[in-house]
Amino acid sequence: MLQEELEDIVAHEKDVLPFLKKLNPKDKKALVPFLKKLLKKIYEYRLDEKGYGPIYTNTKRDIVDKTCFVCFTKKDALKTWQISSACVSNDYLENIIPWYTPSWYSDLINETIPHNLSYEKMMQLCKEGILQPARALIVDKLPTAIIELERSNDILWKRFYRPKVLLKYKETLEEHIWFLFEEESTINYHYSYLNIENYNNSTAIWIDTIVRFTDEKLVDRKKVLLATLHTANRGFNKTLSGWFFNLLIALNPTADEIIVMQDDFFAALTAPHSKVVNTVLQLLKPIITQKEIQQSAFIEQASLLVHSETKSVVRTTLMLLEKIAKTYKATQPAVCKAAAEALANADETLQHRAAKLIVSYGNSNDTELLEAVQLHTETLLHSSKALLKAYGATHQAPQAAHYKVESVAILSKENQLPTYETVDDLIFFVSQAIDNNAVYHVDLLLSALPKLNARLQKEDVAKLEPIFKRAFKLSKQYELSNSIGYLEQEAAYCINDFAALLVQKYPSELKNVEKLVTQDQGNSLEIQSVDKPMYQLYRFLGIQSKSLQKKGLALALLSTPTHAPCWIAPSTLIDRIIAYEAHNEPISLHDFQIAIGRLPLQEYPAKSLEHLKKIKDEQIKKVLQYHFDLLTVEHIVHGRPELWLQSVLSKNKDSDLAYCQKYLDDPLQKERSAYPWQCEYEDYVYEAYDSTAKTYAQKKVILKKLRLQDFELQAYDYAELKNTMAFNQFKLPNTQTQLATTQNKAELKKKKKRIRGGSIYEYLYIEGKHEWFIEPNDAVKFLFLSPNNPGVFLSHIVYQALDESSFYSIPNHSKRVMVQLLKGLHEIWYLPDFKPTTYLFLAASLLYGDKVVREIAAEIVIKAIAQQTLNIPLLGETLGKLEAGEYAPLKRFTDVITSHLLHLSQAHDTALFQLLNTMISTMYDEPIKGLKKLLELFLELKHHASTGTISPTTQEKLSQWQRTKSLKPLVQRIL
Amino acid sequence: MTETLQYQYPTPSSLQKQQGKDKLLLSKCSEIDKNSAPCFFWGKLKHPYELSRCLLTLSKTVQSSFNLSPFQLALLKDPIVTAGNQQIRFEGFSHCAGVYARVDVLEHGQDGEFIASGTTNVDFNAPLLAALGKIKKSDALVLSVGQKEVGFHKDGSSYIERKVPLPTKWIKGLTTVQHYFSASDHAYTLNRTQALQLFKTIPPGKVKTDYYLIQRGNKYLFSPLKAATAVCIGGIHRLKLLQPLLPLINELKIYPHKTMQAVTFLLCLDTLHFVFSISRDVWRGFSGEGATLETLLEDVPDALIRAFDHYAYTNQAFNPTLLSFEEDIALPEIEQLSTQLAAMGLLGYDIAQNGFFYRRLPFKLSRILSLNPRLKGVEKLLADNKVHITLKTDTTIEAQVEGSGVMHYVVLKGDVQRCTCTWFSQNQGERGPCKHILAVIKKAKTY
Repeated sequence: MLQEELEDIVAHEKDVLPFLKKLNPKDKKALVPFLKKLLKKIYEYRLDEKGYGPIYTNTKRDIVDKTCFVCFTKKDALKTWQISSACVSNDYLENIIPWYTPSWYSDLINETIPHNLSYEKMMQLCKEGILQPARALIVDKLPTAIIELERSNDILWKRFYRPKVLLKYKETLEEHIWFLFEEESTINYHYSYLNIENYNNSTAIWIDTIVRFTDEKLVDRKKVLLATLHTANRGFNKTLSGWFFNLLIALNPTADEIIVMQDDFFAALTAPHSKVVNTVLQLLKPIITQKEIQQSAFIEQASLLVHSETKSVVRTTLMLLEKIAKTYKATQPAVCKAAAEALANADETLQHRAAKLIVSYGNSNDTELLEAVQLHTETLLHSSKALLKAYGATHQAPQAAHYKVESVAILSKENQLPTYETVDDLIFFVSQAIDNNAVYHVDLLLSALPKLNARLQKEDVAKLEPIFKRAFKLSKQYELSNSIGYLEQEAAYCINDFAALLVQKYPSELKNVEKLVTQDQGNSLEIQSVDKPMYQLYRFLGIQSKSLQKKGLALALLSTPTHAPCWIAPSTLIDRIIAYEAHNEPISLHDFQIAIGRLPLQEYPAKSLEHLKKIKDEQIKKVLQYHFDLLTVEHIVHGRPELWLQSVLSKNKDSDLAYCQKYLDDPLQKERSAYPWQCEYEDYVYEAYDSTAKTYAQKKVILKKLRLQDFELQAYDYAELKNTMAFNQFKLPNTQTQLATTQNKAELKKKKKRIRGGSIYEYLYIEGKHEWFIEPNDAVKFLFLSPNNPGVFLSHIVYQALDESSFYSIPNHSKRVMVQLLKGLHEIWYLPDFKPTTYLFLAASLLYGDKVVREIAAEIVIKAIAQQTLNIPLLGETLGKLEAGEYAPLKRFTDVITSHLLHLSQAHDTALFQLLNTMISTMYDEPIKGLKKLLELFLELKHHASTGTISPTTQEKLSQWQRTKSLKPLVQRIL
Repeated sequence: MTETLQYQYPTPSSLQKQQGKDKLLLSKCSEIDKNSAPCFFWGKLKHPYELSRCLLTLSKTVQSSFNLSPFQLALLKDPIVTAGNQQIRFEGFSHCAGVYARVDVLEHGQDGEFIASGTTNVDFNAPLLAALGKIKKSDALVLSVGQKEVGFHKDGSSYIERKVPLPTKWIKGLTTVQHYFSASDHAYTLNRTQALQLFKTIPPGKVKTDYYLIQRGNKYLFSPLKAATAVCIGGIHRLKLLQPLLPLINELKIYPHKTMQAVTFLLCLDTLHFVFSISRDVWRGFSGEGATLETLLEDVPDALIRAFDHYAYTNQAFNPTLLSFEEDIALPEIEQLSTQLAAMGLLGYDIAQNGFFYRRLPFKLSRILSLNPRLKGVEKLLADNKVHITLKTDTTIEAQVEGSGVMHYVVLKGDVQRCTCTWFSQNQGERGPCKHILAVIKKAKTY
């Protein structure tokens, strides 16, 4: 009865209030189930020829909302989002609240904090006894209370600064305003965007308000000062904490006030944010030596402050300590002990300052001080050591064995990958292959599927059902989780095709999967498009795997790694080729090239080489013989370049490359990633809003751009490439006809060969500038496609992500890509002759705007120096050339040297000295910012390097820089 | 309605000057022991400055959250104190349940009277924290856990009350983390300088990538690159909470979990220990980990719990051999019990002593036991008869378990447990067995 009545009210948009007023609690309860359904229905949307929009009118919705408000319990009301704001609207307050206020009214408002409730309205409801505001509600509403919105005409709303509202209710200044000092709030928001009519300095609107109220004695000044100081340790975020200490500065505490509240000032020095500590230190500076100040309490704090990560905090603390020591002799032992703590600092200037303080006021016979200094002897820099000789700080070169290299062979038992043989093992492996639990799982999956297919028994088939369902689900997802990439989705496509194959074989066992397979028809690997060229390579491998499944062959793909992260044992590759020959199975050129690229150079056991003779195909055999140094290049340059090119590129011998070039129509520029580059200044003009002029204006900045020349030439006709798929199988039986003879070599020479879609290098590129479709989790897998020649892929990253180094140019996504790639590069860095682009990538990473990225790059340098696989002059030259154009703040590089690279071993110090020597010689004559620190490090390394000889070109550069006043003393010390 | 937990304190905790000494009164409350002695401990502390800094760090840990919204953060929980057997321990969790901190006042760190023993929540209010920050090295401090003078406040008339939604994650984390401690081994001991240098290598900001603690010569550092013997640390920025304490320590000891699912840092001060443990990753609280689930499948006989409760007293080391002898229960059974009892909130773990100690969390046992959704899932699977064992031999169990619209395949072979569900596939058993495996184990016992 009630339901029909309500339906009628809604349908005819009648006044619902008389109906609601007559409901008793029992009626209300009875209506709830119906209301929930009605609510769902009334908020439905339609999509038709008129477009997308609500099906029912606002009036109908309003009727249902009001009924819900009157009938619902708190739990249901909380789930109905629109009730929160509706119940504080004037409509509800005037027409419903006078005769019905639910018991949960306050709770609902306190928990949901409606956006349309102002502080003033909240207080009004409070006074009327309708609402009991909770602390969180007050903290949310009070900050905006002083800005009033007023309608100036029918169209425009204007905002006015009206702090008088704070005086309207006595609770505001007696109680509520103090909550803002105790809880995180929006008190520090910048109100400039609000365009307030009667107030200009809107960034400090609350600071001005509090200072004014304090001056006018409307609030107690001492209470404000103490409340502000106590915010230091309330766990507030950095910006809010900083804002409160701007308030403290604006309040300008007098010396007397600081003295009275000195315990609270000292307690604020334990704050986690440097702005707070710095502000307090600055306020203490003029009065620290006054006798009313407890200097001992400050010295106690100082021993903690000198460990701050913020240099200015340490600097000011040392300054204050010096003042105290100068004035009060009795404090000198304690001051020096606190200063000794500062010797732990890796920064040369701070260490030097602490050392000077100790030398000036300390006693070298004081055993406690002596011990405190000697704790840091090992980490003291040369200049501090010289000062602290009397304290036993003598010069010691870092021990040679200071840094141990973890010498893990590329092919060892430790990194050997598991093999899956039993059906259960294979099923559980396939189950996790789409979760990216390991970087090589997608590769292993492609070989696991043919094996599983060949070994699967009827009774095991149903076990795969949950795996197939997960794979289908993943293949339909538009947004991927952070832990996986598109290659896991590609793996899911492969599992889907495997499911389709099994459904044909075992329809009754896979009844539940059949529906999914039918739905997915038309999405097989061969048909489904690949938008991104690089992913096409994995698609080729997927199709190869599928082909083996169809034939019922349990063969592994040639390119499947045997050792982490991506290496293949030569003997395994040879075995795989022999097995393909035994089954008369064609070899995929892409698979073969990736496999060749994953053979570690230098690790060829004699047994494998003997085994090689069993390969029937002469071309393949010759390529492998060349790869294993058994043949010279002349013997392989025949047939299709895709077959041998990868081997030549992996071996990276200039003479071999030059020889091959004679037979090729392509310049091999992208394959060798041989791009000239420079770093130059460029103007960049953009539009920005000027809040003072209240208009948009053009602004110009100078960007430092890293440009790879000729790179744009590498755009391909991808559509054409895709059509070359069929062309890329290498038919073993026909190869005899292509054998090299002296005669056809001459022919070949006449007709230079053009590399076509068979080369994996045609796909290793990223389309479209700044379109970051390479997922971070995929990037490293692409790097591992060609681990002996990483420059090809890395050149694209340089082009895409490293063309500039300003902060805004590094979105989070790029950081993740960089982190993954550098971790990968660290794993595969074992060759001394990586190409210049790889060094450009490494150098730019050392200057990158993210510390984690710089640290991993530094780890590569550490490893490469220890293993003697770093081309020091090349890295130095690259860094110098980048910084000649001031690609990035030099501080990023000097910081990473100080924190990670300095004094690891004499070998490292010597290598770093040589690196800086080359770097300096390559930089411009005009000094750039941060050079002083670089020169300080150069001097420090000169003292520790085994050979500290400065090259003539560097000497010349230093002489140029000597003309700059601030650098002159340092350069003189170096020279 | 959301279940709530009510903190009810007779008076706020405070720090007051009395006869030239600072008196730190920690007001206490417990929902399981409302009529317990009003005061557990009253006495002097040897190093008040260090204790105040440790308590502030504990409080910052309890107030911090590394993956929750500000609204959840506003629902502050109070730390727990355990007093007895000449020791006082303060412990608490971050809101996200990924960081655990405990301050142990060692036996020689206090000179006072243990009037009664027990475990209780203590009120950590803002004025108290501000006052703690002002304690200096030269100050003398008297600590009172609970009010010594009954009647100082009128009973029942002026209680300080705070109601918060039941901190499920928090309580569950407190019970789970003890198991992680017991499965962690000592790896490194660093002196103060080494510890300070190590913490200077923590990168700024919120770090998403894993870091590794590595040693190079005499230096220790956090590196983003994995090394063979390195200790893995996820969400390394959480360690910044410890930075203010480092200048005060003598030694820092590091205990990684055996499969790197957590790392524990033990800061050794003269008379205090500060234990700090972080979960495998920022988004993983100890509460969500299932390391103890398999042992919880066994029902603990009530008689045994009563025997244990009867036998044990607060802060007493849990000695399995002695309990086995006195109660005539087989030793292996008792040892397995330790994990179960810790999961029930009856045992804590002292990593420095390498052993469990008795302390009963001040929450109702029924609350603690109802917190494991995975176990609830197991019971449901069994009740709905969704577990079908297809093979059972001495070494192998195979089963089919009905999932949501799909049949999962479970194989238990020796120590290896595998399932085709998503949870297992993603975690490979690292975060405890999935509910399907647990259900098969439970069913197989009676099969």
